[in-house]
Amino acid sequence: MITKRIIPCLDIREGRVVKGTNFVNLRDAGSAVELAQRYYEEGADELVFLDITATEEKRKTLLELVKQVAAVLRIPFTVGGGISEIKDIEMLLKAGADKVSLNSSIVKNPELITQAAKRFGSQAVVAAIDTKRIGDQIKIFVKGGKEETDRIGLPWCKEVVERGAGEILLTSMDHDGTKSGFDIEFLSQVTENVSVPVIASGGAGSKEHFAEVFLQAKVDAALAAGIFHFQELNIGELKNYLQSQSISVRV
Amino acid sequence: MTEVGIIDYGSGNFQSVYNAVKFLGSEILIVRNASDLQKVRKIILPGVSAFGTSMKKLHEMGLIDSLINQINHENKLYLGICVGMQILMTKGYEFGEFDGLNLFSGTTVKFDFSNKSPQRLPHMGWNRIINYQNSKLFTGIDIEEPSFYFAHSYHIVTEAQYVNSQALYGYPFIASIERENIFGVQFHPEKSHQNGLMLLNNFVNLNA
Repeated sequence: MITKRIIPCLDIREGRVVKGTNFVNLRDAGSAVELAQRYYEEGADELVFLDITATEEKRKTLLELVKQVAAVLRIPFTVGGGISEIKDIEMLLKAGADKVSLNSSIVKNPELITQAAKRFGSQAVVAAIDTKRIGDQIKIFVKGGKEETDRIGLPWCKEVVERGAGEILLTSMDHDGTKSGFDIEFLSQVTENVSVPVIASGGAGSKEHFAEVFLQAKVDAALAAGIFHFQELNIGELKNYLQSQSISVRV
Repeated sequence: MTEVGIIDYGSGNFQSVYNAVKFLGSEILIVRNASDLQKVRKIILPGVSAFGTSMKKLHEMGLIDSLINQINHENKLYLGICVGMQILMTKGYEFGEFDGLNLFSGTTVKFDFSNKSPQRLPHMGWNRIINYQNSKLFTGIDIEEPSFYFAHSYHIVTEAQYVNSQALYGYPFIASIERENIFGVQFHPEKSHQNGLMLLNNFVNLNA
């Protein structure tokens, strides 16, 4: 049996980890390599690094960070943030990342998903999708949640899969940073309608929220940031709890 | 002679495999051509691209014949990871039909869930190894059903006598194989935390 994955996410700005609420109000949460190492030892199944600076001169800092992380961690990790070309992906994978997460660039240029999947395999391509409810619709946002697009939730999720994405990382902007639980309703719709693994993100505030999203929305993995960074929840404890709820995890 | 040769043929996980083996303290030669292959005691072939692409790349590097020769006639220890194991088969059916190294009679096929409970693809994440045999690769991993990290949509089918572990995903599929000096794993030991390190350590410390 495959186990459910717990994935801490590190939002990186200039090599440091930051975390905000509803995508704004950033506060410092420590050194990226140190935090990554701590999660590795606590039993994280994977890690995600999202570079939120993503300007040209910061690119080198990110590659350096990826190399440092790859040298010490023996679990898979994904890197995202400002990736717009095959060349960017190649450099990150060469530096030691296992997967890349693509967000704004694939909304602008969906063909990038197919090109990346053909070149590096679907397992290396994560489609990161940021959603927000506007009226009765789920809309897709880009540029770190700053820009609304015409894309609608479910059709976009289906499209990225058809184009070759190997996983979907679905973040609810309405839930992000609120600690009120994941967007069970939309996540359930997505897991029922796509064939690739789905990672839930946005809203984790307690261990019960993780159990809820695995049992009700049937996601394959759950991602969180703040709740782990500030040591409100330890990954080992979380996994023990999930196991007690008959959810299969790697311990 | 260098202890371990890791073939660099553009596979996405080369760096991770290199990092893990280096962490274990082994001497490593990065293998890029046939003469490099002669200078190593053990060969690791990482892999995370498609079957056909991998074979094509090895062909372009002029490694096919020497790889078969080093494994079959020089009896060098070989560990194939993911596609590095899949290409040991006769044929692969990923994006077409391709010839493999044919060191095992078998095929590499896509997960087929018809008449079974459907599962998501790729099979991605940590899965437990079941039905594992007493293998030198698993020495010291004394947890019951240890977990390893998988990321693939294709798996091999080959003679049961060479299968040394399976994993369950809709149905039991082959997680690792072994025949004399040849080892193959479908999962990624370089990404499988302590269990993975232990397995790699077992391999690099084997005596031919």
